[in-house]
Amino acid sequence: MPIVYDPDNLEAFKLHSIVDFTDKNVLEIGCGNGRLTELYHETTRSVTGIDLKFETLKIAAKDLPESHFAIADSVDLPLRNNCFDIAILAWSL
Amino acid sequence: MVHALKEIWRVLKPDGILIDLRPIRLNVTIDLVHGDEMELISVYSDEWRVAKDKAADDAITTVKSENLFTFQDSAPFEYVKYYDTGQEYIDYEAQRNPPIIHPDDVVQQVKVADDNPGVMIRLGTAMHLTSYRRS
Repeated sequence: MPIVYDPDNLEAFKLHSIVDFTDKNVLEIGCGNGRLTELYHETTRSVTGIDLKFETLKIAAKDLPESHFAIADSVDLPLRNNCFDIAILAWSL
Repeated sequence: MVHALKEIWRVLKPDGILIDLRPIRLNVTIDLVHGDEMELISVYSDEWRVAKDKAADDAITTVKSENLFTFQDSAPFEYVKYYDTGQEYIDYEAQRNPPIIHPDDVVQQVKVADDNPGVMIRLGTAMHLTSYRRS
C-alpha cells in the first residue's frame, strides 16, 4: 500500500476554516505537483501556482488544467502589483 | 525570506490574505499502530529544519514590524502519515535533502512492522497554519 497522507483530511479542513476561497484569485508559492492546490481550487476564480521544479509543475499542469503554473522564484515574482486576493506559502517559507 | 514576503506583499491586493502553511519539525512523533492501539517509539526534532522554521518566524516578525502584514488567524493541526513498513519509512526519510537518519534502536523498532502485517508506522508532525492580512 502506498504511503497514506493525512487520512482525516485535516489539512483541507483547517485551510478552509481559515480563509474563504470562493471567487478569489489565488497565488500558491511552492505548489509542487499541485497536491495542496487540489484541496482548494474548485471554488476559486483563478489559481496561479509557482515552483522551481519543472518536473513537479508538469504533474500539476496535467492534473489541474484550469489552473496556471509557472517556474518562478518567490524573491522575484514575474507578476503585476495588487493582483491576488490570497497568497499561500505552501510548505515553502 | 523577508524579500520573498515583500514580493508577496507587492502582488497581493490591499487587504489580501497571506497564508503561511508549514510543518514544524520539532518533536515529531513516530508510533507503531496496530488496530486502535498506538505505541510511541520515538520523538525527534530535525534540527536543520527547525532552524529554517526559526528563520521563517523571524522573517514574518520583520514584515509585521514594518506594518506590511498583520496577524489574522491561526489553526495549528497535526499532519499524519502512515507507512506500511518500517523499511518504507526509513527509505523515505533517507532520500530527503538533507536526509533524516534515525538511531539504530529506532530503526529496529520501526522494522517490527515489516514482519507484522496490520502494523503500520504513524508519523505525526505539528503544522503551522497562520493567516495575515496585507496592509
